[in-house]
Amino acid sequence: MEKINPLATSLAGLSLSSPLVTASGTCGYARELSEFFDLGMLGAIVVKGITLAPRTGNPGTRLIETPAGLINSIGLENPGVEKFISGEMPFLRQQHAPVIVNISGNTEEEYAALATRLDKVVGVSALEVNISCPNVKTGGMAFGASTIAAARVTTLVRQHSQLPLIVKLSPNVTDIAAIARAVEEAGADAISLINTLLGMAIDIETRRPILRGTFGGLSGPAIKPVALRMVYQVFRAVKIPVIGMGGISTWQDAAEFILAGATAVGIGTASMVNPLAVPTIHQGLQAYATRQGVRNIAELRGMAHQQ
Amino acid sequence: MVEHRPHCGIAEVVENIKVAPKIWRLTLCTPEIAAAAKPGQFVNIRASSQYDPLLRRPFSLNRIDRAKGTISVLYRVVGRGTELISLFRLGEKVDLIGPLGKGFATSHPRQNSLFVAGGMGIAPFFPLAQVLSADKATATCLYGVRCADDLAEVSHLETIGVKVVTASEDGCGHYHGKVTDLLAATLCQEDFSLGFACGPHAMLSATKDLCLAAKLPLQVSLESIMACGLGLCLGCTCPKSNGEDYWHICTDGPVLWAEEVDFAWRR
Ligand SMILES: Cc1cc2nc3c(=O)[nH]c(=O)nc-3n(C[C@H](O)[C@H](O)[C@H](O)COP(=O)(O)OP(=O)(O)OC[C@H]3O[C@@H](n4cnc5c(N)ncnc54)[C@H](O)[C@@H]3O)c2cc1C
Ligand SMILES: Cc1cc2nc3c(=O)[nH]c(=O)nc-3n(C[C@H](O)[C@H](O)[C@H](O)COP(=O)(O)O)c2cc1C
Repeated sequence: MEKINPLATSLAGLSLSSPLVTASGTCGYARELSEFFDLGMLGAIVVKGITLAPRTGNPGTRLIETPAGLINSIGLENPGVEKFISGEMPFLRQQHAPVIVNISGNTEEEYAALATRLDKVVGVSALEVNISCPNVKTGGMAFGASTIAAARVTTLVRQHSQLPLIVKLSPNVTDIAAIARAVEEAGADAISLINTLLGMAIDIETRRPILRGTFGGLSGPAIKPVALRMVYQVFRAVKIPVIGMGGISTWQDAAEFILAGATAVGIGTASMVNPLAVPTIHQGLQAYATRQGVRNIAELRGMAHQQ
Repeated sequence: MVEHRPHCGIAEVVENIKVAPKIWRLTLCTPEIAAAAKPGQFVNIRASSQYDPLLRRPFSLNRIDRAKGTISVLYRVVGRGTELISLFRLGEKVDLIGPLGKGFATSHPRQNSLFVAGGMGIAPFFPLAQVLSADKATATCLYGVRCADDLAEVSHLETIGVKVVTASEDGCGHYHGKVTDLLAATLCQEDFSLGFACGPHAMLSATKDLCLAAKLPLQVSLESIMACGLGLCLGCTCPKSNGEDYWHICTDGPVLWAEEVDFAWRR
């Protein structure tokens, strides 16, 4: 008899071996993590954000440790879409997990061009549209902050690609549910959230902000309660599946996000601290599903909403 | 890309002792890391099993003992993470990853090597000196400190044949002044085949200028705040001297050829 996998799930037409996915930008193009565990354990590999042209990233300090958190200002350093396809896709294609390509643009045209270019690339299973990266001055921030701009980018990418479309939301907004509804109406197949929260730190000796760009993105355990709340709100607001992330470090954290309504969960900063975070969470979730007496973890999805 | 697949696991504390008022040496039993490690590489240690402090702390390998299956790091207590590490007790289990990064390149002509160390920059030189002395190459170490309390390692380095010359502005060393002034004087007197430097940014920058002027090839071991130490996050950068893009200190370094690094950089 075939062994049933209690963690198997599906999302936007993709079948995932587990709800665990990498959070974009925290796991490069998965080469490094592949030295620590079998990537087949991942429901999907979400790669580091790709832009049309290569980007060298931000000058100066890029990281600041905060209480149970991390502020980053990487500035979307990446080789650009062409080099990504020729240099990284051959390795990614050999892994036993679907590949989701995270894309960022400075203009609507760039998002459209990225969607077009990636549409027919063998091995690319879905697009995750980053409308929220707070690091790049001229970058995605503007798109994620308004329902109109967020919907426009979503529509545009939809028009230029047949691939399942995941839109990644910024938490730096007043009404996350409204943005979620706007991208759902514009054709998104799934929503991922949250991207990093805007934060900053000041050097008290020089009396200047530490980051050249003043603000950076806060991630890690410190943001988990905010992320969980937003996933809970978005689950109620839309019908499309949600990939929840933000500070997930243990299987208990992952279980909370699933109970709040997440179909899949992203592991980011936790993998940077502990490259074995994914296998550890995987094992814990499996045991939890069994203890809860469910055949599949999906049965627990959104349970926190039940009266 | 890292040369070896790094080991991530738990190691037992074999020793954690104070060697100077603020400087400690932590020795861990980790045969996998000891077997693979090369001088100039580092380990990334979790100071707490909780999530605060969140990030691991990187330290150069200060001892590599393959026979015993142990490695050591020599560290200065400067903040919360190193404070917690100084509390590690004998037998305690420590979560670490290593060996990480690229170490010193020792395949170049190095019959007579020169080490330039500033403060805790002394840490990686003992295992390097061991490799050199096994090949009967000679080494001189110019070692700058702020005061006598900062001195560590001198007798250990001397035991394996390194000529150590200390420099201090407070007069506690052989040479009264900055280690880079000592370097300038030394380069006028003696020819070296290869230079290695580790220490604060300004010291490395001045060392590069002096060594390049003296046509002495120089490798520098760099520091930066790091998150993963594995190349996942691209957070620990320093500019390349090509003026275009960045080195990632955790995977391209921490040891780089000085001429490839643009030291004009500062936050
Ligand atoms: C490759 C490498 C090798 C190193 N080798 C040694 C060594 O052999 N001996 C030694 O004493 N120190 C070494 N350091 C520096 C050491 O990592 C820091 O002193 C230590 O992380 C400070 O932690 P803290 O919590 O006590 O200080 P805090 O100031 O509280 O730390 C706050 C944050 O800044 C980071 N940080 C602070 N100072 C440094 C620094 N100089 N370099 C990098 N990150 C820093 C910390 O890791 C942490 O993320 C090395 C650093 C690197 C990158
Ligand atoms: C170093 C770093 C780089 C990131 N790069 C990207 C990126 O390129 N694109 C993106 O959509 N999100 C990026 N993120 C955001 C993460 O994917 C994730 O949404 C966020 O960090 C919250 O999850 P976490 O707390 O588990 O890390 C990055 C986060 C970090 C810490």
